[in-house]
Amino acid sequence: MSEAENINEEMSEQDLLFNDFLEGDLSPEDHAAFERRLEDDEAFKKEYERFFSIVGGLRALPFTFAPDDFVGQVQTRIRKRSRGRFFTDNYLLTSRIPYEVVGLVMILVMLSAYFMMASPHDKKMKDLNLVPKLQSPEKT
Amino acid sequence: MNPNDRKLVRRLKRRDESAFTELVGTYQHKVFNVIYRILGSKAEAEEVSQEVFIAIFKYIDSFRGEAKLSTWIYRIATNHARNRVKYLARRSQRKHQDLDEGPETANADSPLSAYIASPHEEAVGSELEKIIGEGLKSLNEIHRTIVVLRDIEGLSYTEISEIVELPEGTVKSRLFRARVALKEYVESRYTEKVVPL
Repeated sequence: MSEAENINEEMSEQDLLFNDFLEGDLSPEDHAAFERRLEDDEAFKKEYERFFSIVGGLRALPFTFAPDDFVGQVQTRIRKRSRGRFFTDNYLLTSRIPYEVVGLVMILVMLSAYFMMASPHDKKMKDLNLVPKLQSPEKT
Repeated sequence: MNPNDRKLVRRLKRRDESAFTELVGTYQHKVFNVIYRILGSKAEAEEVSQEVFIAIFKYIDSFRGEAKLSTWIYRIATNHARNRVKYLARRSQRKHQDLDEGPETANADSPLSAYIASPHEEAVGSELEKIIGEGLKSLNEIHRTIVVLRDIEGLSYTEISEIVELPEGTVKSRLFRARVALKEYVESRYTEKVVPL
């Protein structure tokens, strides 16, 4: 193994150690030894600070908020995509009435109209439906 | 799943509009921040975040409550963001994105300045923040997602494992590799700029 490869290997192992320390994955003994080395070894401490600056930098990135009208934008998009049928409150107002139901209603309307027209409305004209009784010729 | 989430999910399944408003109100900023950090563009993050909430309502009936509601939402959000990263990479649009946009730009009020004492170091802190933002974009989409969920959102390995659907050991090793790659990226950028770290 070349010297450069050795250095890389060592760096990688050191980074792994830093990572385990940050994640709390070291045993109590290793953790204590790590802290002692941080105090005693300046180069080691510097390397750790470089590694920590990345993780610390990530943790310190500012939180980015959604735009103020975000909820409204999503609602508009959902209504548009579902043609207003998504939410229950709007369903009956905006949903399409099935043709089968329209057909059935029309048939019922026509049937009731037929029966209404077929039956006499004038009570006095009820007798018209009765066959008049003819008087027998013997009596006359 | 906690009782409040269970109640909310039941209302969502009934297509209750107030439940919808409650859910978006609760999760909009978290979802937006995660997606923004993965994509690195506010315009893209806004578009993808809206799609995430539409997907949540579309698939709410398939949510059986085996995972936490927040985990399920994060899964949808990160999947959408990762797909968008792949799509943008395919279309080679990333190089046209506005690098000056967003919080990567120098900002004296940046939380990174908490780590920094002197004015010179403050400038270096803002610079570091910008470079870290760019470094995140240089990672592939799964490494980026894991770093964002762990180091920015502060989620546990178990949650991340459920979100990205990878074993915990794999999540740990990928997080380590991503941090090392990020460190190398930052160091190379500082060497280019001859700015002391």
